[in-house]
Amino acid sequence: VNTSSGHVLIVDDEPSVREALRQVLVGRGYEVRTAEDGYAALEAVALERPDVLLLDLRMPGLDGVEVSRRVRSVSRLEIIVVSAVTDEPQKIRALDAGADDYVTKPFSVEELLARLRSAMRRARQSGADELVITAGPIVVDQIARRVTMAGQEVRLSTAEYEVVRILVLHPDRVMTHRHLLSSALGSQYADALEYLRTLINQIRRKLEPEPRRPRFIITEPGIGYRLRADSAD
Amino acid sequence: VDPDDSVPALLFLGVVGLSAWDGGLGPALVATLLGGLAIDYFFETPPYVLEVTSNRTFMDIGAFLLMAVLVGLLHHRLRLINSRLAAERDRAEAAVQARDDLMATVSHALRTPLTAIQVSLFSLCDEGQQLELADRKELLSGVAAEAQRLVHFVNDALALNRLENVPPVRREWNDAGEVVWAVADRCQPQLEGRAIALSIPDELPLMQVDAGLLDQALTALLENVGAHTPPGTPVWIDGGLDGHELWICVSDSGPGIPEGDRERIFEKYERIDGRGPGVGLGLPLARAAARAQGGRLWVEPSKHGGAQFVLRLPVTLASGAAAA
Repeated sequence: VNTSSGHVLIVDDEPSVREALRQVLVGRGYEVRTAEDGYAALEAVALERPDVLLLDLRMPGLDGVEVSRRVRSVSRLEIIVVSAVTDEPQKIRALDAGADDYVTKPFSVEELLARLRSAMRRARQSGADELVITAGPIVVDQIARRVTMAGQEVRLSTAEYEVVRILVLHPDRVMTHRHLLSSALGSQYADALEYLRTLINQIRRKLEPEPRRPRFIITEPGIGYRLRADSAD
Repeated sequence: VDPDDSVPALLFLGVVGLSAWDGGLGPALVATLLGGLAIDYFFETPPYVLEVTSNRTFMDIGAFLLMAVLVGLLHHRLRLINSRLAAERDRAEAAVQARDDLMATVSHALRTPLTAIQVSLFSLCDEGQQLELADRKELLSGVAAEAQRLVHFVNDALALNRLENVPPVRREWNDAGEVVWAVADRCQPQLEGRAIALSIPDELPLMQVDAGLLDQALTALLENVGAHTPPGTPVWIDGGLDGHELWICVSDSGPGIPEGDRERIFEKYERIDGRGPGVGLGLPLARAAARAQGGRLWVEPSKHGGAQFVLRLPVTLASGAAAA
């Protein structure tokens, strides 16, 4: 029944930004709803069930971090936070709270559309229930706990396997250090950043053709890691 | 003091007061002493003898002295307050001047692209004007480029403002090589196809450093290379550990920086060649990002013929890691 590219909810307290974004996204075939604050956003999430939430971080009342937290506790929809350069700490808190990705305001429309496409892809194939998950040439068999890279088996330790599994489960999504550590190894490891660096280093040596110039596991300095699913570009 | 004596006494008192007012405490005391002696010499009985014979003379001299000290102190205070006020006023005037200069530069940086956008949009919206499709496209891409310039400027200005005021430093365990590689990879569009020769030892230990700030500094340095060196010339990025300092050099084979300009290029809104897309915030931003975590950034001649930017950051090394 639904022939649109997907359903997006834009949350921004700035009417001009809301309207401009709505125009762009409608033009790209998205079904678009807008909300002017955090409470309206929560209501729209419950009623409209959007695929992707485009969420401004800085809003009066309920801010973006809090909206991320509340939405994430009831829904698995994709959250892209829109932050200003000066909101770095809030951005990381929003990602920790469950937001999936971010764009920095003012952003280019191409960048936003690219992020949106990735988010839609993830929304369509939430792979947690699938036994075999794929991201580009990387395949994770969650039953056999086996990882293959372009058909070749990659031998990983248990911790390495868990990190890869979480990254492949969330392709193109920024995983903060804390989020990645606690999802892969348990919340008691949330601050074990030294350990994470070592793990990522080892995983890259086994998985990446050029470990120092990673094509798949991309570093977001000061924030976390992102698995690039289509490394064609 | 006899009624007859009160005239000279008052006269001398006046002289003492004036000296104190004009010259401060020192001259007032000298005037007091001279005045006292003169009254004694000329007017006290016996006259023309320097000899204190009455208590009145003592009292006269005492009164002069008191007067001199009070007026002198008062004068001293006033002078101090005056000079302080003058210094404050100079500082305020300098600040106002600096702010005016800054406002002029900033509004120029904002107004130029805005004017271009406005004029282009006017042409595009003007129904009387029949524009060829190619012309419309050109105008629109001009608008997009100017808007992009504005975005870049506002981003840099905000980031710089934040670094100069309350730099949020987050030192975390990082693999410096990993950060440098990530930034170099991401900056390829800004480098427009320039070859990157990156050399950082693989076996660097983990170190505590703010990767976000390191990213900002390196990004600004690479954008600077992209804007100010001839297209197609390579960029060299070298790095390593020197004791407890991480060093990273970004060098090019471009025109280099004349010796007299090597500090000036780190000043806000300074652009030595007036070219490039920037407005002179990139290098100040890079330096502010270095300084925010206690580091340094300077420029020197590169062995490749151009400029070499040297970034040195103090780091904490993982326990057991030997500094090479």
